Amino acid sequence: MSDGHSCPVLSMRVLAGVGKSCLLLQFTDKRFQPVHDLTIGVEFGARMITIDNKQIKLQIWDTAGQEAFRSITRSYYRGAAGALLVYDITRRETFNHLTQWLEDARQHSNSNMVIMLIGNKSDLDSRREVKREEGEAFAREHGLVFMETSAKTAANVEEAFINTAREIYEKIQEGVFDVHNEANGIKIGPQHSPGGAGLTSNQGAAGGQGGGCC
Amino acid sequence: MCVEVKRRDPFTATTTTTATTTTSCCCRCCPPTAPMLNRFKTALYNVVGSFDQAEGGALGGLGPGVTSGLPTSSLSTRSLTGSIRDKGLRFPYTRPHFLQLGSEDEIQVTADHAIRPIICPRDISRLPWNSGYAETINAGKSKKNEDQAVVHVGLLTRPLRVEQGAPSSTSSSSSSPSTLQDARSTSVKAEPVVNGHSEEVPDQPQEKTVMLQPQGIQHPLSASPATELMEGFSQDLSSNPEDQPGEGPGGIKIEEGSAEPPPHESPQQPPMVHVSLPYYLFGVFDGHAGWGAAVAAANQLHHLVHEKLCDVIDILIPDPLEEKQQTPIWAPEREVTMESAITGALENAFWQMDHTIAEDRLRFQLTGGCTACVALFINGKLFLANAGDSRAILSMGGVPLPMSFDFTPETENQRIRKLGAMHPELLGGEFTHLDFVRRPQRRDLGKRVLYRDHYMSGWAYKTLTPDDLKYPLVCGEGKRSRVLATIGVTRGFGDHDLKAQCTSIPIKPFLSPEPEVRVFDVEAAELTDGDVLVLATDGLWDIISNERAVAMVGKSLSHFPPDHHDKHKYRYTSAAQDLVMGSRGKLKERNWRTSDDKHATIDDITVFVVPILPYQEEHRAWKARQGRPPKGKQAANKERVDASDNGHAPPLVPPRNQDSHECSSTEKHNPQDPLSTWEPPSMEAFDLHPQEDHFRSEMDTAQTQRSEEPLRDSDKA
Repeated sequence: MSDGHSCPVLSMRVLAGVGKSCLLLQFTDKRFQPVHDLTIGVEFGARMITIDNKQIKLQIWDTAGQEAFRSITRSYYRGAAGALLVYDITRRETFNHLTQWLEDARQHSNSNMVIMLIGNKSDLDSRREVKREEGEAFAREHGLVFMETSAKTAANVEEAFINTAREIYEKIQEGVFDVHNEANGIKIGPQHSPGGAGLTSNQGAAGGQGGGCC
Repeated sequence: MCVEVKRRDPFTATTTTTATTTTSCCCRCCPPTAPMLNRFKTALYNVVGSFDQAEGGALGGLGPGVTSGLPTSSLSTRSLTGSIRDKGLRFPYTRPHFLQLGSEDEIQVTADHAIRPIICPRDISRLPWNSGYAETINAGKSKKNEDQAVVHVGLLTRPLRVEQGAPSSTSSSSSSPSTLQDARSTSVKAEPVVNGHSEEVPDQPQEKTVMLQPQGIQHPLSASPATELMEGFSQDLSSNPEDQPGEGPGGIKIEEGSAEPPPHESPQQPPMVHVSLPYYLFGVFDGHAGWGAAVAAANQLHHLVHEKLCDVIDILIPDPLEEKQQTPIWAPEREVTMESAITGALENAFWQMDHTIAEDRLRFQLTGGCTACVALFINGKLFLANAGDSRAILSMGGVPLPMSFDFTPETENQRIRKLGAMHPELLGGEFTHLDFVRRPQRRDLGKRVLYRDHYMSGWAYKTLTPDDLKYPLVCGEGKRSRVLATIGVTRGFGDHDLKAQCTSIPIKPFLSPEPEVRVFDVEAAELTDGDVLVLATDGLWDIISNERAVAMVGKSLSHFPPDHHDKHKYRYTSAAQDLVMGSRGKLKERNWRTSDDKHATIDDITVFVVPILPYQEEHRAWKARQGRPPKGKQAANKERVDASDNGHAPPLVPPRNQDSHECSSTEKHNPQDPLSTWEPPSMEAFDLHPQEDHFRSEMDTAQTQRSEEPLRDSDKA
């Protein structure tokens, strides 16, 4: 394990829309893959970041956007501390779907989840169908942070993830998030060794399954 | 990991079997427990940390109830644990390689007991025919997902002489060692390259290990190269193999059995062709009391199956030129069909797998046991070998067709009790093989009670004696049924060290690795691309009935109409995910509930959804290629077809099976027709194991010397 023994793990989900897998790849691997296959189920990515001189491990779950997988992906919102809601600025319909996705996310996540709205493909300004102002207005209306990114040029990608993480971190500092409740998507302590904080809360959750199992 | 906490009287709990399913324990090796007990257990976990203590999973969690006895049973538990931890791992814990979970970190994320993410392959083209696979971890009963799965594509190759002109009467050269030796080296040289296989090497080093036998143990066949998993199926595999001669579906290069003989062959050396028979294996292994056995089975069983299939290659790919040996009339030889040979290979492999685990556990950390349910597509048929309570069904035109039988203490009640009656020493004086309608009480002594002995399926009266008050060998009903009050499965691998609750009575003799094998004739069936094989562990089947599974698959597939070209290929993956989702449900107020608000499973769930039409197409194409015989072969083929009328299946031109839409257990597939003229070829002629591994990477090819095999083992161990 590279993340040390007292490193907080923040979990984030990347939701909806298009190009989120590319965003994740740009953030974790610093590379761009122009043709990306459909995400089915869930993909994982992780990166260490530093906020206020503290090492934080950002664990990102990239969930399938397809309608057919909706019922499955919904169950992943739970246990997320933050989420990126992504649309494609060159495709109006992806923007139109946002309301539905946001509703979904709000309904199935904990109320403190930090959501950032991302208009992706800012490099394709000539093909733009959704104005920047529209994105800003939507974010204002729903209380989200807004940013336009390009997974291709890496513009703002780093900022999008780190700003979200920073906001989660601030909420932890303010005491909004209970770091001992794993359902908030925050784990502190060694992730792997048994008996650690992460595990104990896992057991707690498991023990609650109607009497539990062995 | 399952621990029974209450020691004093593990049996009292059985009286409370009416408790709601909420409190039921889904694991296989602890007795049915009362709600209080469960709460107590949960509390204890939180204090002591229940999960596998060691990262390797060694003995941690094998609690007081489930003792683990090694040969050195006099050691205290502490030193015992120590001694086991000193041993290395034969196979590290991992998830199925086709999931491509590259790092420990990713495996860790998938093992989130609170979210229970549904994991499916990142690249679905890694599975044959875009088959679907999905899994999820338990809700906390064990730290690791103890289900395992394997997909393996192999090729059996046999060099055959090409007939020149009319069948020669002096065809005894097939048994000439020099000819075979020759053919063998040719086969090595002609080893085709498989797409994408080499790139798999860095990801999945353990896939490269061929570890059939522990070091030092020389099995006669252990060095026969096992076929490696074929990775990197291209999308258009099953499209039209005829367009690319020699290139089978999935980008597998299959050597043409009908290849023209090389032009400059000398008449002394008959030209050889290599007839190659591809096969596909899918397996699920549901582990309990540790992950060791399941991981071992997922790493080794397919190699054993390959080895055993190689053993009978003369029956699978008979030599059309071979002279039938006249058996003397006073020693008639029984018919051996291709089906029974494959069935035998599977049975043999299962038995040896268990044996291998038994030996390995003395040298390595290897704990627990597992069930095994293996689907083998070969020669136009589907063979389903099952040992345990995982299940496979075919969904045919929206109707479920069971391909396996759930082996549980309840369904195997009579076999278990018969064994106990025949070998009373196995009961340790603490259990009775008799079955009572109701558990007799002390106050019933001298009264007449309804019972049945091991030779009875019905009930009769007897007068109760003190001996009858012993604990029943088989108790409980349904998922709660247990053998020796301890274990809930009766077939599978491993568990060699498992003892009955609070006793030193070994469980193993009652557990058997013997599979039941059922056969379905894929080739002759009328199929659509909605017809699938659903192969899953009991996590699915505890919640979802066969009928419901078929309906769910149909619904899932309909979400991906063929005109959605880019998404169509995901339909089987989607179906597998939906099945896992349906049985896992969602977490509602700390309980996992299904969509219709019933109890969902808290067990590990593993599901394959395998379309069977592509295999049929592929096999037909394969057969068409085999059916383009070089000159002079027609006569031999005709003879084959004639012979097949008697129900024997010569593999070069397999006949249509008479019971095309039925699967049946193999006992029924042993036609004993004394009038038949087809005889299996002599076994001695092929003791050289001419088949070669056609999927090995170049790295492996370099290591052709058999003596090097153990070296590779030790590298990995």
